[in-house]
Amino acid sequence: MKKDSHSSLWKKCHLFPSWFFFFFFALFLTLSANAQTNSQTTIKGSVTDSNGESIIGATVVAVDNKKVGTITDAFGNFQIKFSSTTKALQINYLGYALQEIELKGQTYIKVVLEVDSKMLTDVVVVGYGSQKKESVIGAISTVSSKDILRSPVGNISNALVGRASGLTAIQKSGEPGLDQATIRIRGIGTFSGDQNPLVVIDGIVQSLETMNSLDANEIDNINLLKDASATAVYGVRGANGVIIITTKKGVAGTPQMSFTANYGFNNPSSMAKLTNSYDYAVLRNEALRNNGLNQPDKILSDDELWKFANNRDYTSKEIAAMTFLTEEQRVALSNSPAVYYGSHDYLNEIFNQTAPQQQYNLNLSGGSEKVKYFVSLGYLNQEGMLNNFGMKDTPADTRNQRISFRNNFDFNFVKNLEFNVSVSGQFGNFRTFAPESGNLDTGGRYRDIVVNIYEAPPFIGPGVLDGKLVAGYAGLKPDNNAMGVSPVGALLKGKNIGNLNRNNINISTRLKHTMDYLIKGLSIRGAFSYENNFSKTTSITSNLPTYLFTRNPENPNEFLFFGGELNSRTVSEKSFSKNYKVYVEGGIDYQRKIDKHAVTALALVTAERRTMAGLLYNVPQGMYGVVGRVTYAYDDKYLSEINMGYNGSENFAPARRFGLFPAVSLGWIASNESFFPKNDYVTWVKIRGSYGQTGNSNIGGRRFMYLPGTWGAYSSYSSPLQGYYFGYTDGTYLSTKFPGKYEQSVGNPDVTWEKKESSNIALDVNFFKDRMSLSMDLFKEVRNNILTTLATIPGIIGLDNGVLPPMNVGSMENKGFEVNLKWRDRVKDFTYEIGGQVSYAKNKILEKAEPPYPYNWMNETGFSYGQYKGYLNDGFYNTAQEAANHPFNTTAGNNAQAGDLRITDINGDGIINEKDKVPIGYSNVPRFAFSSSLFLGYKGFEISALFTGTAQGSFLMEGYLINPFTTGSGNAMQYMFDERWTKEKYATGQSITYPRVSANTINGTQNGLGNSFWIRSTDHIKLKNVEIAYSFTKQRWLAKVHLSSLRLYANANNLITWKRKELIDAIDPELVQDQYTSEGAIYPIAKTVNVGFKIQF
Amino acid sequence: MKYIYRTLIIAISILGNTSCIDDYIVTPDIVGLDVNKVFSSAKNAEGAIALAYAYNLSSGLPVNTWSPPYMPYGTTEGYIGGEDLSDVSWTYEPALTSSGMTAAGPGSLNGAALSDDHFPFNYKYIRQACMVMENIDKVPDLTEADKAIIKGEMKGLIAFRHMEMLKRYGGVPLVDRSLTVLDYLERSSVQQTVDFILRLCNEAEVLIGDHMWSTEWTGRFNKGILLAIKAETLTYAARPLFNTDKPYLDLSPNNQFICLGNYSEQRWQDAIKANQDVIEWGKLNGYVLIDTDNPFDDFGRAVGIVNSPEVLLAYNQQGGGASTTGGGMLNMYSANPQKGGTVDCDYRGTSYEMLMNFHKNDGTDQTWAGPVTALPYQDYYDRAQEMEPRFKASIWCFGIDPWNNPGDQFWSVRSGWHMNKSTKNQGIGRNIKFWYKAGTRDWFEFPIYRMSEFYLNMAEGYNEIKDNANALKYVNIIRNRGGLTDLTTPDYSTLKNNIEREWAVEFYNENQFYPHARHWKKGDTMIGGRKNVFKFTYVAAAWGVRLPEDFRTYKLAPGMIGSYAWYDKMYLSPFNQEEVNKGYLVQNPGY
Repeated sequence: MKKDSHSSLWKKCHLFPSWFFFFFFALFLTLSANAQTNSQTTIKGSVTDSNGESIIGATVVAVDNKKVGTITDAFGNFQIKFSSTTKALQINYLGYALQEIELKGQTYIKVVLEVDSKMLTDVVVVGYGSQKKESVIGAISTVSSKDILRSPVGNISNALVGRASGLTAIQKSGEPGLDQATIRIRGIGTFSGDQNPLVVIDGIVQSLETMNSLDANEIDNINLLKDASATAVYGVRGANGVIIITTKKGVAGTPQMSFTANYGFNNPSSMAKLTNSYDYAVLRNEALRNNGLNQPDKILSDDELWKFANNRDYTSKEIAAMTFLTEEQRVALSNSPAVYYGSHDYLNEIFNQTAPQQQYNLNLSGGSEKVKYFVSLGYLNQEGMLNNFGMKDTPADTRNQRISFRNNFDFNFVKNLEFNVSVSGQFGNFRTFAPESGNLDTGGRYRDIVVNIYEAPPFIGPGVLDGKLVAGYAGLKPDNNAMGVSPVGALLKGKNIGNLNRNNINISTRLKHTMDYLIKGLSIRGAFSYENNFSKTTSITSNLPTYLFTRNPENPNEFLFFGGELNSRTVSEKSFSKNYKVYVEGGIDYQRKIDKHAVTALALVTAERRTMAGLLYNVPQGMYGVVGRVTYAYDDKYLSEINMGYNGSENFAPARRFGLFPAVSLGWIASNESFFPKNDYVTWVKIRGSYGQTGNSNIGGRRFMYLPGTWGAYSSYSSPLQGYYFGYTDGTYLSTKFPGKYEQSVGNPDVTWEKKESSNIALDVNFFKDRMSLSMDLFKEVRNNILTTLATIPGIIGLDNGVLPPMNVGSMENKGFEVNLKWRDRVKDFTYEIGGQVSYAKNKILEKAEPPYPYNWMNETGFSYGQYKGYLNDGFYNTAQEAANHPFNTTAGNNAQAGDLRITDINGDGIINEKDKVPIGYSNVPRFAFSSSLFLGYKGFEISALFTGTAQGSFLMEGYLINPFTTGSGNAMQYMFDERWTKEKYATGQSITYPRVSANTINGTQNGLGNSFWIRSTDHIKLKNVEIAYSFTKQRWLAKVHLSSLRLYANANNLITWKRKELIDAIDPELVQDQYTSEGAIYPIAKTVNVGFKIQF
Repeated sequence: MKYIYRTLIIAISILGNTSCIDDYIVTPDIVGLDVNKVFSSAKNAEGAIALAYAYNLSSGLPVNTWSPPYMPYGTTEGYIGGEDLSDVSWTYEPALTSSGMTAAGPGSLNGAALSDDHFPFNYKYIRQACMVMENIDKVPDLTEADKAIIKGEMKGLIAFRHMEMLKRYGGVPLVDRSLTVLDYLERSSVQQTVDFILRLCNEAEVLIGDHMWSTEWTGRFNKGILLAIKAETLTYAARPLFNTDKPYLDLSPNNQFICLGNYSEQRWQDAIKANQDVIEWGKLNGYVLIDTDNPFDDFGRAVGIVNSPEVLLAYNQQGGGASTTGGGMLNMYSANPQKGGTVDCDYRGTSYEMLMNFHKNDGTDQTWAGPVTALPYQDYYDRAQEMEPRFKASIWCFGIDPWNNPGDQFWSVRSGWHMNKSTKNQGIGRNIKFWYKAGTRDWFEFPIYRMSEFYLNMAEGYNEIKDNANALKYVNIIRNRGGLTDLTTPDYSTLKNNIEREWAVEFYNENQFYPHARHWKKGDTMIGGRKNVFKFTYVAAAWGVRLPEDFRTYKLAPGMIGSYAWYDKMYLSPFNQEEVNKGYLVQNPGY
């Protein structure tokens, strides 16, 4: 038996890479210790709570021999082999009353655990520790692993959207590997510093990138720490909220192995609609005529319009004139679809690929009392939504591949000592289209390819014709000025293949020594972690053969292709980065309950140091902090807590380096009072509140802000402002070049922390025997001392903004609320759950050291961070006379004509200028985020749905989104065609939502300016996630194939979006606005449909 | 007890041991360069000195083509004054010329003015010179005499930059030391600004003395340049914009910021004297008019070769003109066939209005095709050949091999890589002035002070004080050198017009036209109004037409910006609204 288990597992191990051996080897030792040799009986069973909800991880042991045991799996099922002498089982789960079940010869046992009202039900992970849920007084939202696994996404951040209150998210891109959401916890609190939350994985601060590349199957739960009481321990890094991720750990019992497989498809969820050739031609002719410029050579003729409309390259008259053709050839030509006058939707051709996505995970967990293990191996492959037009090895063959592994071991074989080792890592390979420079950022690259599409008329070239990539037309060009060079060629041939390899390995150990022998409840702990990150970018030139195309002048029915040579391919390394981080932690814990007094205390020192090439002055980045926490509870009714972080930052002078961030919080569990009537309607009432401070020391990534000024030196220079030439020359040679030396920074020795003071009050109530729960949080935070550079310093000081010393002058306020409501119940076999949450956060800049503007609307002070500013629209100038009376416009050449936007002269000075720009819309990060989840379960059948939505968010359209015909001949969007102003439409009272077209909107009209007309609401509701699943757990055939359960499911993400009509197709309401997306350089956000299964052995 | 001790020791060592903090929060030992290191040796200080030159002398030049808010938004003073016209529509040029200057430009300029300058950069550049001046004494391996000269150079650069500001803004805050963030300065009057510039030049003269640089250091300031700065300052102080009791627009009670408060003929006397000083100094030191009685070559060499003896000061940047790397400013002037094909110069050409300043070889005016009737291309070809030498040394006509690079295949319209295509052009021809027999040279040094400037200043000054004889004498020196016959008119206004026309021809595209239009108070006639180009028709619809046989006809037509806006407020430039908002500046009137 022992031997068998070894050998069969050994075989399986061959499936894994060699590094996996070591960990499995350790595992086998523990497995073998578990093996039993005497005569045994097998018992199966399931454990649920009183609502019928499966209890995962409940311990099942033999009463007579507690070394023999198992835990329930993800469906609450267990299977255990006992000695035939065992008479009873003991089932235990935290928060529930211990149960003993006599076997009485049964082989299948159904156990229903009752909530232990005396015991506390759940454990919540908090900063540097955990607390019983009932005693938590901080504002913390929890997301379970179950919910995360419902989202078929490659990025954890995307799976969090809508799952927790207090979280708002927007997304920059749908490109696999770069599709993470930008997350804000309780909105935005600073206008200057970093706004991202802190990420802590298993107690160790990690990057957002590491979080996003975790395999969801490794995660046990995710907690969002929101208020000061929860985040104060993180001191300087806690101000933006904290995301705490806890990975799964092994549970003592027989090994549980599970395998999950997912297969899905990604599609663009929203994409711009561009005009077809005919509409384009009509619109552009109209635009040229509107401009009144005498450009007859640019007008497309009626013949050309006919060709576009009929998809032909030649009119019948032209064909008739081709007397050198036979009659058959002429007929064939008249039926031959257009090449020169074709119509392409390049955006759709390039982006609309149904991109497959696969995800697999294999994990194993189990152990004994002495050693527990959780081992997981995951694989993800997401292909990009770009079309490679059936060719191989093109820059459009994009994908994101990732292997992740995790080994969590808990050792407990020395008395009073718990020892934990965790080794985890991700190996990622991201392949994408790259520009020459090899820069793989999400802005410039998209711009590169999308701009090619926007700037091309829909007939510019055939792209791929007869399987050949056309790079241009040979011989005579068509009259429409199409060159044959298409955006398809610009992508397939014009871009490189970028390859980014990213590896991340993390090794950490934790020690806990309980010192009950000294003082009961006392323990000391220590942790060490080492993290190594490596990344390398290479760029490979695309060497697809390209062809010049022409219709044979002697017989235009024939297609002639020239060229097609293959060039050599070059591979070049573009960037290389390696860094490692060491983290150490040491501390003392005390936890004791004496009578009705429950006390805990924690004192901890943490330090970390990141070393990487290219850091300023080659100095590693370090953090040093002290953490303290004292909690006291009396009689499970009155709760109090003091949390404290004391941190040092390299950004500040030694005397100002450390900052203390304290928080106090109080709670009262009213329902535990003796005077509180026991009833079935209101079963639990807790009131809690907190007040505290946290900080932020980051401003724009600048380091050592306290140091005195530095000078820089140009080594070589590209601009005349970087050096000078001295010496005589007659012009046939260069004289000596002297690269310049310049003031690089001016220090401020007095800089210190950005300080956030926040308060939170909340009410948690459970109704109807805990079926319904309501939680309401109200918060307010004020950030002071925001590090910023003074905008009031006169320019005559002669220092650029980047050189100016930072100062602690800004102040910002952020307040809001969160409401969570949930109802869950079970009616016989039918389980259902309905929940909803609303989060609201509104911020206001209180002080920004702005110059005193003549009008208050010009300030940022007094408005929300990111508040859009622009001209206020007042409809259109509908007649030439109206236009003639327009106020003087300092931009766009003071032009206005009928059909142009009418800009309001806010200050009434007769001039439209900066002084007339007022707040328009909201900001890009919406104030309201809400979601609603629904779960229905009947026996093995489950349906869940998540609706998410936001309100009071805006997007300001610019660039290609509002300007047609850029660079003279670029395409236009369909909405411009459909909804443009024309004299006729105005006269007949039709709906008009776009101004008159112009061949040069940007400089030729005032319509291209930031204007309330172009502000679009991003209010929306999304069916964010839906899942249908069926679990087989009790069927006999499962046992035959040696499975304990099988779950089949189909799920989808971003399935349906209901948005306002004003938000044009190109813009997903969750899209981040930045300089690229504003103008339409967007990689569409993905809609994912996925099927999968999970089997447990 | 033992346990307790042990525990306490562990606990204390974990919590209390802060000595290891330094292992985590590291204070860098080496923080790159600081001011002491930069001025630790003569060699190290060279970079700071070089940058002071590069910064301060860049005034009015398109030193950073594409990135606002550097002057002038992808344009040149030649363009905003209408000497050259452009076909570019996607930069800020069209807004600047069609709606005029504004204190706050389009949003993407980040609050900077839409103007010919970015005000705060002046002080960034001045600060660089101040830093050198204040720290040069730290350099151990320079003699006291060397240090004095360097201080003199820096004072000269500071004076130069203030003079450039004086021309654009009137009185400005005066800065000759590095300021701290707590310093506060307001505008000074025009008179104070003039005095400040003169004082700095005088101090610099004392420091520099008669020091002349070895060929190794050509390009650095000598006494002649300081005299030139004084001459230019005094000339501008004497011109009508400042030399008046009635400013161009009322700014009471702050009119002293925009004019001198009275008219005084003495200012012209002072200007004449100062210009005379430059000419005299030049004669003694080898800076002279090139005049060998070969007008075409003399003028060609004066403006089109590097280190021409006529150029007292140039902007010494020698980066190639192909792209922004190496010297983007040159794109705007690079007629070089190899480099010009894809850059900005490709889109610009001489305006018809500028063309009308040039004479025929015989001194009379030329007549070209009008707006109504197109004439055959041959007419354009023939009339171009009849033009005066300075036209031929300045302009490259369409379809004609450039006169100033004769027989050079590299510059011939028949060379394959040729860029002188007329289809993209907005003009009657293209500026080729800085490229006399340039061969493959793809850079040039923009002339800042060319000796003929001082002759024309003299002519202008003498005419203003009604000394016709001397006025004629000096204007005729320039005309003579240019191959034109002498003027003889005794009439003040005719002579004034002739001198102004001489300025336009002699200094076409040398950043004199625009400030002249302002300071002569002739913005409405010299800058505002209709701008025309020649539109050609071609033998076949073709792209990149360049050969004479490709052309069919030409006629006069409006340029892309058919009409240039002129508002009187534009006599002086706006300060950035952003700076005015800070409360220390009084904005110029009209903005």
